[in-house]
Parts: sequence; structure tokens; C-alpha cells
Amino acid sequence: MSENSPDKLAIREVRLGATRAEGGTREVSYVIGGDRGLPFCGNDAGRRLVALEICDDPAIWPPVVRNYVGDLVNNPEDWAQAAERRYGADLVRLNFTSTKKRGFNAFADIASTTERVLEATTRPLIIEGSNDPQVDSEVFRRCGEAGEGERLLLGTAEADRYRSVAAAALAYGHLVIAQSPIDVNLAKQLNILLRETGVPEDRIVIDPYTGALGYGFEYSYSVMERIRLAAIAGDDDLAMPMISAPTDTLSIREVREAAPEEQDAMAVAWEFYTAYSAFVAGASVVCVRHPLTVERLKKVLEA
Amino acid sequence: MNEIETDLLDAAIERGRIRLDARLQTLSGKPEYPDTAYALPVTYALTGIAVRDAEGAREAYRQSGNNLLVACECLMAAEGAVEPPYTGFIPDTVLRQLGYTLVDGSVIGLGLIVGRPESPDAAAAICREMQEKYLLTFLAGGVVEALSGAGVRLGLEYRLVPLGPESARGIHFADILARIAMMFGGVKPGDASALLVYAAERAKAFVIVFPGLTDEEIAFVDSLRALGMPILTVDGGYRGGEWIPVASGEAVQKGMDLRGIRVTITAIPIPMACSPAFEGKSIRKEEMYVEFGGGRTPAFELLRTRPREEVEDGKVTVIGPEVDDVPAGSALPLAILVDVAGERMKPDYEPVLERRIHTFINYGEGSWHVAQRDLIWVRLSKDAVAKGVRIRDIGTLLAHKLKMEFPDHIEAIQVTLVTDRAKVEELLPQAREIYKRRDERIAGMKDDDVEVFYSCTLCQTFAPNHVCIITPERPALCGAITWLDARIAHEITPSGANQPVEKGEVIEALRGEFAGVNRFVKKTSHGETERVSLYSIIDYPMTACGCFECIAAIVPEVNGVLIVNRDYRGETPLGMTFSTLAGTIGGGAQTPGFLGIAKSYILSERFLQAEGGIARVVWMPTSLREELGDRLRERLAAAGIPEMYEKIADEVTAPTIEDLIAFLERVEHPALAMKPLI
Repeated sequence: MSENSPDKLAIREVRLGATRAEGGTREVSYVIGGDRGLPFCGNDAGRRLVALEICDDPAIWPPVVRNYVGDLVNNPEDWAQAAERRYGADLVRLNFTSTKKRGFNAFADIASTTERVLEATTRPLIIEGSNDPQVDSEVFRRCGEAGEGERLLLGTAEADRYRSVAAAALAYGHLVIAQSPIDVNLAKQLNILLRETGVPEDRIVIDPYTGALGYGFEYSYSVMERIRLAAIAGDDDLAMPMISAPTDTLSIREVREAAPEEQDAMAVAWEFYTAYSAFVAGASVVCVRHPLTVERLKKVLEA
Repeated sequence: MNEIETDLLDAAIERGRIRLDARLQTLSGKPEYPDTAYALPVTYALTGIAVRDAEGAREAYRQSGNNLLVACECLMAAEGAVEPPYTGFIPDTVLRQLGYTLVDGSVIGLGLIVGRPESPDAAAAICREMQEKYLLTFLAGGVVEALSGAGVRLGLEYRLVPLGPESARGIHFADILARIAMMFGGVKPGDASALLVYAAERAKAFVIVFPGLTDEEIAFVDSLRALGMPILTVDGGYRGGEWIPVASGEAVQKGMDLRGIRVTITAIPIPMACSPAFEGKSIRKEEMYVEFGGGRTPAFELLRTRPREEVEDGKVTVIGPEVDDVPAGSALPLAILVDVAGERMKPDYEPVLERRIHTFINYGEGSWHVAQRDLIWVRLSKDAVAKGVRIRDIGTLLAHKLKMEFPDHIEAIQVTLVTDRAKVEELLPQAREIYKRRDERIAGMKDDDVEVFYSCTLCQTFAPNHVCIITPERPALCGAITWLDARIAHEITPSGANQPVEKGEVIEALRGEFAGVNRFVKKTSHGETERVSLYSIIDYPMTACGCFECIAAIVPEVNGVLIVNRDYRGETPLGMTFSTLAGTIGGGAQTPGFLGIAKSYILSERFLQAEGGIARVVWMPTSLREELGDRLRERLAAAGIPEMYEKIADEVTAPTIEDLIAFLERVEHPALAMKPLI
């Protein structure tokens, strides 16, 4: 008991997803965090998870992924199911890209897509709602309500628009991704704001934000390191596990302009090295978009 | 207030209380609500008792100390449901949505309207105003019929919820609050004080009362005050007690003011993204379309408190040429004048809010800002200007961001941007007069008088490990934040960049090293800096971000210290310009022998106390010496060396190190005879 007593943990434990016994319908739930020191220094307690990102409107999704997964892009639940069963992802991150369309108002679809994807998967789910103040309130309410009890990880809260996400987490028992623009103090401040809104500290996951490797990742790396060091030094407001989604990686020039036969390999290489670096910097969850990256990351993590 | 009327209301409350009390004692049947996990919510929250029967109701009432809200709730729960369109008790699932909109900010406050209005139109106008102001309104009593009769649409989707035909149904309003507190506020059933705190501070609600209440209803409404709700009476119905009479046209505004409810804005109408993500990005000369200040033109910023009637909220005025009147690469003069008004705004807060101008302009994707006061340097990028960004947009950005950031203090804000040179030059002396007055406010305070210093980590976006420690006798190195300002900033934003720092045990008094300060700096610099002397340039000097007004640097050859200010563009006797020196000492590193400082620190008794103070100063540019002028003379006189003023060399008397040595020997500068610096 003393070894595992929470007060000795540098990073809080956060449970993603809920099994039937825990009030949800997932076959497993994951505990992340619980670390005592820096990553890969022999103190790792929490697990590292690889999420495959999918979306409900592929119009703005990277062409290299669309080509690879084919028809799946038009069907979020099949895509989600393939992510788990075929590609081996620990969990799925569902992006509601449809909300980016001008004048979006298909709120009922948000609820039904959430339900269908939950139905199609057995593992915890990350949901990325809208990022437009005009529709945030309704979007987060719908996905929060549709996933009540499932301990979804909902994104993304930012300093000037965190209320809808926080409200959905509070009302329907979910978790929050708190994203700050590569800045340790803003990360801390957002966590304080969330706490003041009433979100319990063990329901927050920090996203320090990142670019691709070679395109600004080094800033994120050092901020992640500083967040982790601050937590180890006893800063409670930063003692949350981290998530990293290097989503820009597939839109960089090297990937876009690669020869057609090299596209997949190039995309996977960039995603893999960026995402793996994020693990090294201390991320508990990384989110990638190319299915082959999942496999490669899982293999290295198991080694 | 009329005493007889006061008596009347108090008497009615008392009669109502006795009636309710008696009815509860004879209550029979089953008090319960459907579709909730919170039993009778007010009772449950106050006492922790999940009431199931009449006996339980009486027990809970007793345990609550005869709280009338408990009595009303138990009595209502025993009465059963109401017919549509009335909602009666609201089930948990719907309530969760209501609570969501409240946390989410799409509803910013709650109102309960009871009684029967004499004029349905007045009631309709109140409801319309509530809707426009993002308030969620509950209705109970004759007001519902009156509104329907006047053609007002009711229902949750219209944010007007008809609870029931009798005003007593208003008790559901209290059970909604209680459940929101338990669902969203982490209030534990039975923790009455937590409920009251939540209701008073978080769930911002008020009550509007029309005439026509029974004594029991009067007693019930009065008991809502315990939940922090002001009771506003309109139509001259009730006077007395703690109830507040208002004209019906002013009821909503009054309720909002009393509860501190403010409508907030989310999107800023400018053709440029605005986010902290852009804060660290600078605009290089080649990318710049137009710049202001930075030594090329006169420029300053000033935020002032004004009477409410002199501030037209949201107004932005540009006086002088706009960016499209000048070619790319131009420099224009600039005065940023921000006028704010608000009941809770104090002139003391001005410098704190003014300092945020720096942060907010840097939030713009194509706008950039450094330094402060009359030293500012602002740029707009070519990209931004091509997208349609104008100087006016900087004003719009500032007006919105300041109001969003300080909603409790700023009720109205207007921004004037002056790019007309003559006008800027005319205004500049007035601004300097105000800066000087602000500096004087803190002049009498001593470090020994306080137990707490303040930190500033505003610049950690640029210099991630730098921490300023601000004391009464040593302002932040940017010169823009004094100890008083930092204390006020902490008051306004407790989670912000200015935190209290306990001095703790004195480690070394002369050098100004304190155990508490060291602990704080170590933590906040993320372990980078372990010790800091507040009054020394050599042993563990304070780190610097990059915003310093001046740099102090030791000149080993003459056993003294030179000071160079940001606006001096020439070389110092060290063979380096201000900007070269700045490049070596910024970024949060501890650099013994160099110090980033505010101008006013030069005049402090604590200035380089460890090294012998002001007598060490051997050189400063004439512009700086003239600016400090009489204040410097006074300081030197107080230090017992009035003749020193003439002994400080400058760029004319000593442009090089050789000239400096010769000059100092000729005037017999005291530094030459002091203890060796190194």
C-alpha cells in the first residue's frame, strides 16, 4: 500500500473509459498517469496508449490517410471498429470535423455518431468536439449526453473557451483535455480555471500542443519536460498525465510532396518519430492518423 | 423607509412562517418527487436526509433549524404534480441540461418571477430583457397567465420556464439550485454551509416579486434570501424587510448588478486571429508594414479611469493617418489611450490593466509589442495589413480583451489611437506626469515594512525560467509593475502571474537574500535559479527577461557600474550598445556583473546596496540623467554625496573606456576609492 499510496505519485492517476461495472459499456478501462519520475527512467507506472484518429467528415482529412483506409472514411463506426480490431489501436479519437463547416447545425448527428461509434468499439473513446464558440455549447452537450457514464475524454478546453467542455464533463461524468499553447504557465492557469469551474483534478489531461518534428516539436518537448519536472517538484496544478496529438505531421511538405509510392512510408515515418518523441517527453497518450503508425508505435512500446 | 410598511411585511412573514410551521406539523401523505436521485433536493442538500414520509419531513425540518425552505419543499412535494403547460418539479435529466448551460456560460444567471403583475406588458418587457441578457427565468404564480395572455411564448426553449400556477411553486427554483450545487458544485448532501456558499457565489440568482402573494408565499420568498438571492419588488407591491423596491423597467439591471452578472463577449470582430499562441512570435523588420515607437517615433500607452458618462463603451477612435495612408516600412507616432469606467475600478488598478496592453497586442497574429509606458515599440506585419488589419483593429482588440479579462472591473471601455505627431507630442508630457505620480505613490514604502513580496512571471512566455521579485523598493525590471501594482494584480486575478512571496528568514541582509524568496524562485524558475540577492549585482543577481528599462553593468577598470537605458542607441564605454548588452543578459539567466533594472530602482535606497549603492554609478547617457534629473539630485543629497551628480560621466564626457578612466580620475569619483568590486 505505501508503495502505491497516491500521495507519493508525482502524476495523478486518471481513468479513461468505464466498464459495465464502472457505469459504462466498455470492455476495458485504462489508468494513465501514476508516474513517480521522468519517463523511461525506470519509474513508469502508468501505461502508454496509442489512439487512432478518425473523423465524421473526411473533407479536410489528410489525403494519405484517406487513400490508405479507402471507404472507411465515409463510415465512422466501421473506421472505429477497424482501428481497434484491424490496426490495433488502444483507443479511438473521434474528431467531429463536420462542425467546421460554415453554418453547421446538424446537432442530432453528433449524438447519433457518438452512439454508433461507442456501439462499434469496446475500448475507451476520445472525442474532439467543435472549436467554434458559436456551436460549442450544443456540440459538447450532445456528445456528452450521448456518452453519459462512459468517461469519455473530451477535447479540447482552451483558456478562452473551456466552459462547454467543462460543463459536459461535469454534467455527464467525462474527462477533459486541457490544451495550452506550448506554455507551462498557461497550462497551469487553465488547470486552475477548470478546477474553479468544478472539474475534479483527476479528470484533466494536459495537452501542451505540438507541431511536427522539425517544425516546432522541440518547443513542445521542452514544455512537456518542464511540466513533468514541475509536477515532480510538487506542483499539484501540473500533476496530470499528458496527451499529444501531432496532427500537423501529415500536412508537412515532406509528406505532401513525397512520390506516390513513398507516401505511406513517409507519412508513417514522420508520424512515428514525432509521436514517439512525445512519449519520450512524457506523454501518456499519443494520437496518430495513419493506421500503420499505430502498429509501429505498439511494436516499439512492447519491445 | 416607512416604518409602518416595514412592520407590515415583517408581520406577514411571521404569519406565513407560523402557518407553514403548523401545516408541516399536521402533514400526512408521502412527500416525494419523481425522476430524481436527490430526494427532496433542498432538504437533502441542507440536512443530508432523504425524506420519504411525513415523519421524515418533520425530522429534517427540525434538524435544519426550522428552515422554511425545507418546510415549503416538503409541503409542495406532498401536493403532487401540476398540469401542462406548467412543469412543476423538473426531473434530473432536464436539470442536467440546465446546469450544463449555466457552467458553459450560455446562461449567465437565473431569475425567479412570482406574483401577479398589474400590467402584463411590464412583465413581458422584464422577460424579454432576461432573454436578451442570457438569463434563465422561472415563473410561478399569476405571472404565467398574464404572460400567456400577452402572447409571450413560454417553455425551456425560450428560457422562460412556467413552474406552476401558484407562487408557492417557486420552491422548485430552490430545488433546482440545490441540485445544480450537488451535481456541478461538488456540494455534499448535508453540508448546508457549502450549499449556501455555492448559492451565494456561483449560482447567480435573483427574485422579482409582483403583488398578490399569500402570507405563506411571502414567508417562502423571504426565506430565499438565505441562498444569497436579492428580492426585488416591483409595481410598489411590497415594501419593507430586506426587500428592495425597484421600478419594473430597472428590475433586471438591478438584479444583475446586485449579483455581479455581466454579459460577456466571445469573438473579437477583427480580421486577425487573436490567441496566446501568437504571443511569442516577433515581427522582423522585413515582415513589418508599419511600426510605432521603438526610438524611431514618439509613442506611449496610457490607461485611465474615467467617469462612466465619459466613456462610450466599445468606441474606437483613430486620430491621424491610418496604415493605408502610409507606404510599407513606415514609422508613425502612436498614443494608445484606453479609457475605462466601472464601479469597482480604482485608479490604483490602472498600471496593472495598462500592462496587459503588452500581452494583448502580442496575442494578435500580426501585431507585436514590446516595453511599456513611453518606451513602447509596436509593429504590424505586412501579412496582417494585407488581410485588412488597421490601427483601428488594435483598438478593437484591446477594448474586447480588456473587458473579457476584467469583467468585474470594466463596465465600459473606449480606445483612442493617435498617430498624428503633433497630437502625440502634445499628450506625451501629460502621460509622463501620470507615470511619475504612480511612481511616487510607492515612494514612501520600505522593504522592511512588509512581510510579503510579489512575483511576476508575465514574461515566462519569452523567458521561461525568469522570475521577477518585486519589493516596495525594487519594482519589476520593466518599470511597469510596482509592489502595489503586483498586490492589486493578485487581488484582481488570484491565479495570475503575480503571486505573493513570503520573505521568510533573512539569509544575508545587506545583499537582500531571503529563504522564502529563494524557495519561491527555485520553484518558479523550474529549478533553474536557486538563490537570488535582491540588492546585489554580483552575488546571485536577479535574472532578467528582456523587458528591462535599463541595464546596469560593472566596469572593472574603474571599480564602478554604468547604466544604459533602452532608448540610448549609441555605444557605452564597454564597447557595447544597449541591444548588444541586452542580448547577453536576457532570457532568464543569472549573469553576475549585469542587471536588468527599472529606472526608478536607480533612485532606491536598496540600489546595489551590497556593492555600496548609488556611489558606484560612474556613467549613464545624458538622456537618462536628465530624465532622472532632480530626483537623482535629491537621492544623491540624501546619500550625503550631492556633488556626485556632476561626477557621473556620459556619452559626451566619456565615450570610451579610456575617456571614462581619465574623467573619473579628474573628478575624483568616489567609486575609485571604494572596496574593489572583484
